[in-house]
Amino acid sequence: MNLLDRLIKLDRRIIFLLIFLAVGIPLIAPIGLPVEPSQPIESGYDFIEEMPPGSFVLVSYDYDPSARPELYPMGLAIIKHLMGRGIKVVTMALWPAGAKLAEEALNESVQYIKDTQGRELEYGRDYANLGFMAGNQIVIVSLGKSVSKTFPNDFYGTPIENINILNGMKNYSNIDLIVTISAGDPGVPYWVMYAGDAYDKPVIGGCTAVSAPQLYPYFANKQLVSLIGGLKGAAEYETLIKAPGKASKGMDSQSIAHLTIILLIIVGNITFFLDKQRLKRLKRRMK
Amino acid sequence: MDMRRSLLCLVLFLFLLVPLWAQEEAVQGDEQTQEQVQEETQAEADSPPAPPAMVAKKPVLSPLKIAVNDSPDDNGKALIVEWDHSPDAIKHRTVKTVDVQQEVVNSQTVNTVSWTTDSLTKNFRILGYEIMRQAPGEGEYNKIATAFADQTSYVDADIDPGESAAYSYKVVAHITRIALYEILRSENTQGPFISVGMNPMKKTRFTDSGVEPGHPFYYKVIAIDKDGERSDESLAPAKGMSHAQWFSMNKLNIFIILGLLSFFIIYSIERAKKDPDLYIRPIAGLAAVEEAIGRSTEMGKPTLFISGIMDMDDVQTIAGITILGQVAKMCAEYDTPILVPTCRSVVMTTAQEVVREAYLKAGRPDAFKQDNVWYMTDDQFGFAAGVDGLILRERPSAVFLLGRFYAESLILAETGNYVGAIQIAGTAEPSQLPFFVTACDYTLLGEELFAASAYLSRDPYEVGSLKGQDWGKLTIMLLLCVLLVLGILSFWPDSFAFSLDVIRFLGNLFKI
Amino acid sequence: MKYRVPILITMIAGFIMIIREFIPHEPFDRIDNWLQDWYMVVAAFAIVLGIESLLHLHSRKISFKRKDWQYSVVLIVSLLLMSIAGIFGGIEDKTFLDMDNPTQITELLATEIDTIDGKRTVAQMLPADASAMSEQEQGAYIYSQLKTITVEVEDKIKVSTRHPDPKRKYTIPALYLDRKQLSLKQALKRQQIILHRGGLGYLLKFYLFGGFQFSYQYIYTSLMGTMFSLLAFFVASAAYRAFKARTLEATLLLLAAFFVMIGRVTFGTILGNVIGLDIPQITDWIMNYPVTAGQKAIMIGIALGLISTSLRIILGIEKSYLGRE
Repeated sequence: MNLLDRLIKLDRRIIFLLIFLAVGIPLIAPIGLPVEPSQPIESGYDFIEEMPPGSFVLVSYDYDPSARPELYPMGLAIIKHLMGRGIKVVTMALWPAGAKLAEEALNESVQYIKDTQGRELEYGRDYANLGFMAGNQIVIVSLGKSVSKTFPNDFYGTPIENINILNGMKNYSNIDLIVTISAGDPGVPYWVMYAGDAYDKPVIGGCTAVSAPQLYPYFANKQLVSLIGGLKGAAEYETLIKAPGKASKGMDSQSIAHLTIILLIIVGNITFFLDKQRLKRLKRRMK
Repeated sequence: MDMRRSLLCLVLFLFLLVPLWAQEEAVQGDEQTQEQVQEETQAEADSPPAPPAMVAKKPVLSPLKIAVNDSPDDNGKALIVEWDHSPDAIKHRTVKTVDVQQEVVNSQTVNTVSWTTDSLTKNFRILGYEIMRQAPGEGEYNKIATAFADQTSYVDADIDPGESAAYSYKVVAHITRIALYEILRSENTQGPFISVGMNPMKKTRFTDSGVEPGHPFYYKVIAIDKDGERSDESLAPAKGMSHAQWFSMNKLNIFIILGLLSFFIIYSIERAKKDPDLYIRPIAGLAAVEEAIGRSTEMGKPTLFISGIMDMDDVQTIAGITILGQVAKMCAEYDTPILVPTCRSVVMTTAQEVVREAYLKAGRPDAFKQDNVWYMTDDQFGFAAGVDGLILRERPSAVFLLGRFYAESLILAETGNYVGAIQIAGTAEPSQLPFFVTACDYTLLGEELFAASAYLSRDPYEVGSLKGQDWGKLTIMLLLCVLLVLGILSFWPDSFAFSLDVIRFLGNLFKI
Repeated sequence: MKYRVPILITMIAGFIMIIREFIPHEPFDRIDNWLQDWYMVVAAFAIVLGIESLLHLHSRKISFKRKDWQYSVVLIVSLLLMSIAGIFGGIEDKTFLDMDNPTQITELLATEIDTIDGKRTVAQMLPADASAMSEQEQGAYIYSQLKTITVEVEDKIKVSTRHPDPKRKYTIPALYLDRKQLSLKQALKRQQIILHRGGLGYLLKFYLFGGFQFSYQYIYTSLMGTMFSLLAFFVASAAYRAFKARTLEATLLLLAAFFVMIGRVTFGTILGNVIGLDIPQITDWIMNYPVTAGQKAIMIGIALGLISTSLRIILGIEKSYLGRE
């Protein structure tokens, strides 16, 4: 079997091995490729930069651990940005596993603010975690009427009326921005429909790279202030807030992996055309 | 066997009730706590807090023009209170202590403007600053930048180095005396008024969601400064009464559009009763169903059918289950086993009924195996792992992926491709369509999945509904063409001024 | 009759849900919540059915020793272990403290508890002659006092309410921590602290109270991540196989994939600078125009298909979900 035949019948395990190396090596030996922020991410960053300290932001964690590598750095970067600007952050989740992820992000951000700005943020005064509530779009609509009726207790079981930060957040009229980090359904479209359009609230959407094309129309129609798609979007946001994290590190791997796939496509097309030429020559000889 | 299964279900159900009973103890503990809280609250109310230091100052000015309106398009349990800011809410004061230093930073001459505001913070809260500059040769001060409340300096790099000393600066502080607005409500003009909400200073609109329709309510808005001083509470209150609406006028456009579409569909269904022979364009994926099942029969391998990973409340799952009935009937006729793992229990019970009925219709009730339709797991990737394992072990020759899928779509499709199965996929999830198109032999795009039931059954009513759907699509396409032409014409507003008006009108018409 | 009743229920429920969307008046405003609650109850019962089906299938596989029956054992054992741990132990994070390390206990409790019996500090929990006691004896002493010692814990963050006397000046809401008396045992339970003595008892307590969290964090999450990461490999193999310029449409697909993939990473900018093309801008153009247009067109078609299918189901024309044509 010559090289052309081998390439045509290439065992997919070789492709898997190449991808493994392409993703794994940059993780061990980072290259440090620069990340250039793009307009959909910059618009979200600028919006938060213009928000006065003391504003209220609701961050909804609508994903589970399977999407964590892509979405956790994104949510973390946004919460760090919000907390760094003295904006009050309240997290919630429409997916069961989201509440725990929100708790992790809040704790990590609080530590980051303490290390970089020397400020001690306090639970209940500067931030809170409402936890998970089942009901999908019903929860989103219900928040427009009353936050306390939708979430009678927070993630830790404390009654909502005993949490100071939520005394200023009755419903959407007191919320200045909604951020949703979602991996599917319920997710960004529901927040746009039931909160953004219905209550005229600005919404920032974070999603996996796969869902980003589907959600671009919302950003193009200005129904979303910003759309942060995938690991690249998270890396761009980390670049903007000057706090490089896992997303920026992951971009090296993603870049090399994309390059590898492109090279594989090119090789695949070359073998395709060479094989076509070979078949044509065979047919001519047979004639 | 059924008795045993029923008993097992009962045992499992009782098993799940145990933690509910256990939780009641914890709930009782909380109730004790609430009583203690109430006692302490009362004790705290009886012992008054220390009053703030008394400083002679002007009384806080009340908010202006309080208006109470019914919240539109709701159940009558909300009123909207709006007001204009108190005159004390936003003031501007020029900062007296401003210092300008010329510096060279990164080889560039800049003016650093710094200020202190000790006198201003005594009774006021600073919202921000405006930095004004009078450049050489200009008669007026112009605003060049804004600064946050906690800023005390600003670096002006946009200066002519030769004349840097000729620039003069003014800093204007935006200050407020008001910390909060409190909204009070009573059921009569004399009171007593109870507090129903607090707004931060910048918000002059409050929705009170605790009212009853048909009753008048009276509202006062009190401005409170940072020391707790309140504006005059003796001013006359504003009256409002809420009403429940029987129809949401802001959804009228949706109602009309829905009515129009429904009319198209129902009319077409009625027409189909008279003229059942309606044309549907060939859909390659659906035409290949019989071929796929035939291939399974020839190779002696089973057919695998996945109806998505969502529950029966999803229309895509219903569409998938609908096609399952047709596919199961063909499998029964060809005597090919059909495997239907499901991701939800309700879908499992429905699928079992559908497949059983299909086998019954095909005259092969004995061939139906209930174990071939089973529940796997609710978890997305657990289901993908289970189905992958099934595909690799059973090596089905035909794989149907029809329903709602998410990230696991490519995992399933690639594994099916690996074992050499003929794959027919269909989903209305746009983000997953590219994966199916790449990895599967045939793909039903979006609405083709919903049309599948009509296509396979050729029922006149169902085919008629497809025609109605097409009328709706035609209307939308014509509208889009009109808007496209108007949009192009709007580039010449002088000649085609009407185009912008029409676009605006249509935009408002379709606004939700 | 077997099919008429479900069709009638579907029709009534469908029309009510449509009407509810347009009529905010009572009782239509509450129908959403009722139906959602009812659906949750039905779904909860259905979970029981699903678990029963799973257990039934796999227990038959084990009893008839069909192919790969050993994996059925693994499934049933995992199902039971996770269920027991989750139901009885709860799903919160727990802290496991060795009772033979009383210093650790008192240090942890001191972060949450102010006084014991209203008089002593946590450090004074142990008796005066504690220094003469071994660590095991101190641990045993604390354990024996679990029900008798009362502690004052900081409980909730409370906001002071408005003074009932209207002439009093209003104070800006102040925070204070509510306090309550609990037994030491209750205090430990509230703080999710589990005391153990090591050995088999520790393993059992760890499984019952911490097993769910452990399995979730270290087994389930890792498995989910593993399955999701398969996508990277499958994308590569699917791209190698499918992105070939066989036809004009395939070539367009290939070019779009090339520009979007390269434009999404740093190499796009670098390559663009080399060849004089703004590749990220081409990527953005592809995403904003052709992709958006195509997505919107598909979504319009899907929306119409949804309305048509829903109407057919509500009107009873579509009966196949009942198992009937």
